[in-house]
Amino acid sequence: MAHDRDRVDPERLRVILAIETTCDDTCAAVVTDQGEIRSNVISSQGVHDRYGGVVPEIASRHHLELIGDVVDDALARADVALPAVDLVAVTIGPGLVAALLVGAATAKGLAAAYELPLAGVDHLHGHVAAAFLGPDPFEPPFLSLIASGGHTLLARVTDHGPGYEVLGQTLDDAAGEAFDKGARLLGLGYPGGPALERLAADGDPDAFSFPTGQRMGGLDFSFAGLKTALLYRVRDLGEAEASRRRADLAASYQRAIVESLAIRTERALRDTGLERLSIGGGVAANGAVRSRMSALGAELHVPPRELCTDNAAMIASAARFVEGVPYPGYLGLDVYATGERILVAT
Amino acid sequence: MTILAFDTATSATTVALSGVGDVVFTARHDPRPGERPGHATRLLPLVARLFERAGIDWAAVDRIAVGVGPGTFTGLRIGIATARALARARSVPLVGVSTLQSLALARPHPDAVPAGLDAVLAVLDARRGEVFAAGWRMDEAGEFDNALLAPRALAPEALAELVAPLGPAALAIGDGAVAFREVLERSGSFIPQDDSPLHKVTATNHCRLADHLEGGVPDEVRPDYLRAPDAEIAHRPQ
Amino acid sequence: MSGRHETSSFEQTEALAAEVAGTLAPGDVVLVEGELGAGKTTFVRGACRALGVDAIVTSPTFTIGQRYPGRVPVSHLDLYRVADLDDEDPELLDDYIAPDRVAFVEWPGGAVARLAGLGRVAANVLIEHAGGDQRTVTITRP
Repeated sequence: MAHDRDRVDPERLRVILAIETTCDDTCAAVVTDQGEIRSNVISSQGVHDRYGGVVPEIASRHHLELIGDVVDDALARADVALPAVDLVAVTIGPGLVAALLVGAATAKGLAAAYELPLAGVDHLHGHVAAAFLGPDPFEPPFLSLIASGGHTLLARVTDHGPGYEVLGQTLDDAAGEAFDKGARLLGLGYPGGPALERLAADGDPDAFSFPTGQRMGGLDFSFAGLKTALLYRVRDLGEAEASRRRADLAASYQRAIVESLAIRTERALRDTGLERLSIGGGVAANGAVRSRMSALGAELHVPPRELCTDNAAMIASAARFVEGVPYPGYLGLDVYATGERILVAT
Repeated sequence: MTILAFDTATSATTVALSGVGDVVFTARHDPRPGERPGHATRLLPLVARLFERAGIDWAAVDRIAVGVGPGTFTGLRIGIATARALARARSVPLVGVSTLQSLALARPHPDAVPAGLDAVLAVLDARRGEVFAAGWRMDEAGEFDNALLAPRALAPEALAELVAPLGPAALAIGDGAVAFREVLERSGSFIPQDDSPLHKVTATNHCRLADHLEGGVPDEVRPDYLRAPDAEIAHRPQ
Repeated sequence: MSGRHETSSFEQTEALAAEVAGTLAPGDVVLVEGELGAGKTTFVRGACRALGVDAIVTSPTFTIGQRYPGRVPVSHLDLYRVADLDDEDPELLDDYIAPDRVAFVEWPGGAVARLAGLGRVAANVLIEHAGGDQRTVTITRP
């Protein structure tokens, strides 16, 4: 089917509409192929906080309620009509399958209606590609540290594509999960990261010694032992004392997470010889993480907060460097929870 | 009027296209035993196949109809998210169709069922030992008119008790009727043999219903979870 | 294999899990309980290795469920955030608990009855802190 856009000025910027519903944020964005963000709409569901974590059924239900308006809003703010979009992009994993499916069904439906091409994007490639967004894109080569509630990884980024080399990753819990679970042990609400950071501001990070895995060689992360150490410390102190020293516990625990990230990031910089570092993911919004990383001696890039946490602009950014599938090749595209891509016949 | 209809409330993925010539184009996917439903991967490819067969494209669609359940949560969300996106993109009205009502529209061949049936019960397997059910009175032409039993989720035994007064006048169809055949047959309902096509939800009937229903704004078409134990209410901290 | 076992390192917990894994068949479900930091994921990792899983076995808290290819395919679930399976999609676990795979479920909580309806519960594993790296692992087989 011939579209008007085939006959317009070839110099015109291509426009990408991206959708992201990996966890509990319903997101849509419009980004140009030059990495200029035309709109970046994020609707945080918020309703999960009182349950101590994201409840899959509630996340999925809310994505369905919100996604239509979020997409409309993203297109309206960018002043773009759907038929004028050149590529639709959507996160297809890893994440909550029931949540991802709502975004994928919406993206496929929107793209199919005008026989637009579609790109399925890996959520982690999205976090890496947040660095490529304007107005001052951070260009490869660089070392990327992605730390969030679901992921912790170090990658050597030599080009813009999804083929970045994973140098290290968590062997048990993600860094954001360590924040959440530590916060739970300290009786703080969900999400644990911001609550723990606020409490830590009033505490002494040297008050308690928690393991950072300094002796564990290599570039992989482990946070399970840290979690257990906090549990034991809280028990040893007794309820009253632990409660009295909550701020010190939070500050010391946060310090251990930050050091654990910094030790491996520093090693990776040394091992690879890279002198530039980009950080992303929700944990990168933590002030202590940011200041510690800026002290590593590398040229540091930290995207604005709204590009660190889940967002669709980063998915659009990644989609610029992924082969878009022409209609109708993507109609049978599926989503995946983990690295196990489920390949389907269309 | 060209109507595209589909339903993903049950394990099947069923699509139909009416209003292009005299035939209704249909396609479906039913998972084999042990196979998972193919909603996410089959729905749009089946639609594309119908378009190809009918020789039309998206611009030709005047109305979209989607099954709103009751059914599996994920299946409903895939169907409804897809339908809303298509309707929104093409600015065509979207019609939500009750999956139970569509199922009840099945027209049995007179030779396949006993004479004297005047009620139809649509019964879907809701898992966890329950069924989704609704019932309608049929007139002589086999069309149904007034509702006998409003849609609900209940134990098959409770359904059997409710419909017992209908006796052998009730035709019970759907995968729930097959799964709980013994219980329902005890109340007198007639249930066609297991492999009868009458038990399958088909989007062809969605097209028939959508012809008469008012189309609306896409986001106003919502899943009818029916069982709706709203996780948010149940989880609400004390 | 049933009964109480004392382990004093994560390696020992993994080795014990490997022994349990040796008795499992496709379709089996193993419930793994214990408080935060007890070593539930460590136990599952040990069992996964014994079942021929090469992938990194991490906490599935974020995704609820992970699936690993192996000699026997393995599912690894964490139902901490699933307060009540009755409120979830009845099909939530269908991709994970199936006749062709072994499933390990952390934080089974209120879902035990539903899980028993989906697969064959082959073992209950309770991991308790016993000071330092010491753990008491209690294995019950129905």
